[in-house]
Amino acid sequence: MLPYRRYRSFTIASTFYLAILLVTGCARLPIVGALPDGVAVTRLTRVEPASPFAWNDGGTKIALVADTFVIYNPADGKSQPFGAAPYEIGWSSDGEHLAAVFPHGKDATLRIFNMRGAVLSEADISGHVTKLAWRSNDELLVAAVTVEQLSFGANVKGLLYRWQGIGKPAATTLSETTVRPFIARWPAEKLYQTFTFALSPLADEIAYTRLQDPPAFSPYVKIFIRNMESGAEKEVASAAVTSAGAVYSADGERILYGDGANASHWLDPWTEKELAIIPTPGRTIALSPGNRYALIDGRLYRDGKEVVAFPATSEGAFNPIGGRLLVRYDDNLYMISGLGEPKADKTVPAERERFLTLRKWRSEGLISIPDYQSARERMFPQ
Amino acid sequence: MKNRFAQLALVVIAALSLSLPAAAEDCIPCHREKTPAAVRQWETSAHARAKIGCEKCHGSDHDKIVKGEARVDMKVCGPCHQKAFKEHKASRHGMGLHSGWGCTRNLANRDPAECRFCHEEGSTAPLSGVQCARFLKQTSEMAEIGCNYCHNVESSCASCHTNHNTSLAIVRDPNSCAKCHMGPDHPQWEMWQTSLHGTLNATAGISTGPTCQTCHMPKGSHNVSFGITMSSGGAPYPAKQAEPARKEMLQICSQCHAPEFARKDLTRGDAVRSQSLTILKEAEKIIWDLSDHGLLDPMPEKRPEHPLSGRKLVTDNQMLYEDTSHIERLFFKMKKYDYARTIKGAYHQNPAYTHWYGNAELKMDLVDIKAEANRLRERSGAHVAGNGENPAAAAEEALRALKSKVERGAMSEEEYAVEKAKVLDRLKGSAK
Repeated sequence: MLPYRRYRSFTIASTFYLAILLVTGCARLPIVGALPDGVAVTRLTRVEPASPFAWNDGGTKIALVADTFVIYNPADGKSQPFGAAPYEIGWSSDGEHLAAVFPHGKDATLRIFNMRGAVLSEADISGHVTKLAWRSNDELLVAAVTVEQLSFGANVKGLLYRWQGIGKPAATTLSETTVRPFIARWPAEKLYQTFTFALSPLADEIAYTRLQDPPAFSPYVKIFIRNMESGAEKEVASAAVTSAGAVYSADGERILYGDGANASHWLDPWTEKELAIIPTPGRTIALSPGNRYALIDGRLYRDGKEVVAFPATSEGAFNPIGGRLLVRYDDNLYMISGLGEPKADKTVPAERERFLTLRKWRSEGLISIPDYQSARERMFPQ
Repeated sequence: MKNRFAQLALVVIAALSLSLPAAAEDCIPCHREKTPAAVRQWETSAHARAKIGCEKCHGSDHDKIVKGEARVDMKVCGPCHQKAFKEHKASRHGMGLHSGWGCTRNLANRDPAECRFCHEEGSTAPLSGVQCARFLKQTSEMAEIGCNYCHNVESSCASCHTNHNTSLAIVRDPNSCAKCHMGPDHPQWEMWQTSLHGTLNATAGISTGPTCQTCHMPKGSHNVSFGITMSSGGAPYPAKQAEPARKEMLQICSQCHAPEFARKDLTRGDAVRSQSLTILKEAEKIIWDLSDHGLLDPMPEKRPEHPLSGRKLVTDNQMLYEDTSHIERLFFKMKKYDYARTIKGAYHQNPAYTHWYGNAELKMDLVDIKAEANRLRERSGAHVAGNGENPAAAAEEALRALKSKVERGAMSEEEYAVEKAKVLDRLKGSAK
């Protein structure tokens, strides 16, 4: 039995929610709470439920799946067809190429398209792809999971592929766990979810999850950061298997991860200092480019405070230049516009290289955290 | 009444026939044809005389036997031969010399049957705690022949006694040791053969010339570690462990020699070991210094992972002779062959192995290693000069050398902090 006060709150919230549904109609995005002034919600188009969608870097086009794979222009509502439906997509940062993943039996096929829809490169890889990201305009990072059923459980392997669009993608095993039989029987999607990554805005590091299955304990994931140049890794947190993993802050110095059970945490992964806690488990996380906004488990936060809530099953992607948010709920894609946000700082290329060098040295332990901080302050005074 | 008695008699006969193990005779007719040598050996063995038939050791599941899944290992022999089993388990032969550790399941082209190298069927727990990087680098076939034919001694009596013979004449002959204790890395059999002990044995017999077993398995003991004062790699044991072992060995020597004579001889061996270790350490230091400065070619991070240590320099007993740099390959020979031959030659009283096959090679190895180090340093001169145009690369090289030094205790934390700050200052200065 719910205590009376909780029951009353629950009833009021449900009634309010149902009322919104009745008033707005089913094709509208259910919202709990009042949208801030100047913020508007627009339904863009129908999409396949649970299908991928992605902004281009300029924030002018959206790759999505509506029956087929299309590039949608939110300005005029027109779509350019690209063919069969992929299950993961990602734009290169120059917006000239689009990478997409297609099922190939138990494995996957990667394709790189140009903007006319022609396939420039194609490669088959082992496993089910859980995430892809362009590290540069010439290199694609792809996370994939293979599951080998064994008589005493299953071998779950997380592979990170690096592909320059030529030849065979190079694979590195980042996670390998022999799980007990009851975990081996989990739905495939749940096993796949245990290995994913986020690329730092500087494209030099990833934060990824690694499944753990200790005897006599519940399985969980560890979160590691890995420098892509040195290959050095650091374990920074652990979370329930339902966690969305981590995303990087705009400056690449902090991560926001969901513990999958209670809260989401802002963390400095190097000092391991917890900077803030957001009271939602972080099973889906999207951050705005300036970090002013976060969409976590369907709740939209501004400056760390909840503004409105969309259904928990909705997923979002912020426009890379800020100001707008895509939310997919069921089979509809919505755009939230009018989100004011200062533009993120971009370091000039020469500084970026030196900065990356310092970060690489930090990852390898060639310099300590205080060394890094003081060198950074001296080299790049604010 | 008569009928009931007959019924009871039938039941007793049936029960007896089920409970008694099948006699060897059940297997013999067929195996006399299929495996005649095995049958012949068993028939003349102590097992046959004691009426220990095939099934007692092999079990009764013929399918399992045919598939090679019912091997007669130490667990089968142990319950009857308890004294030998206990002595063996307490000795170097029984202490995890089974090669392996580190799962090979995910290496390329593995034979699934090789799981049995390390695991009992259906178990994920390793049988042995010993790690061997060189084993893990082998193909399944090479691991079976080149490693396990010797390193199954941990769990297989047959490794020395052979499968169906029980003749002690076989295992009392030094040739039975030669299968493993020979060759470039530890030629104890050759050393013994060409020492005065071996020569006397060949000419005057065992009463004058001792065998391997005389000194290392006294009174038929299965503890082959008796009297040994160093690890199999030649690292001296600490005094607490070495001193009682030395006393044990002196007791053996004193059966033929004056105790003082024996003590002096073994002390000379200790001195040769210590002198040789100094030469070896000099060479090892050169390699680590090159590694600190990123001068090995290739560096560990640019070659296939070491099976146990990953992309790190390894110069201990787990060092590899493949996927390594040329200078490390020279060091491998120096340590595994020439150092071992020098010190084992000395303890086995063999002059040629101690000097020419051992000491001379060891010293020539050091010459080669120094020359190769000079070559690498000279070559890097150009590389470092090139880094003058790339301050970040030069700084990284310096930081890496400093880190390596502090990690292996060649520099204090305080010195490290000062030197590191200097490198970072130089980098900042170069950016202006």
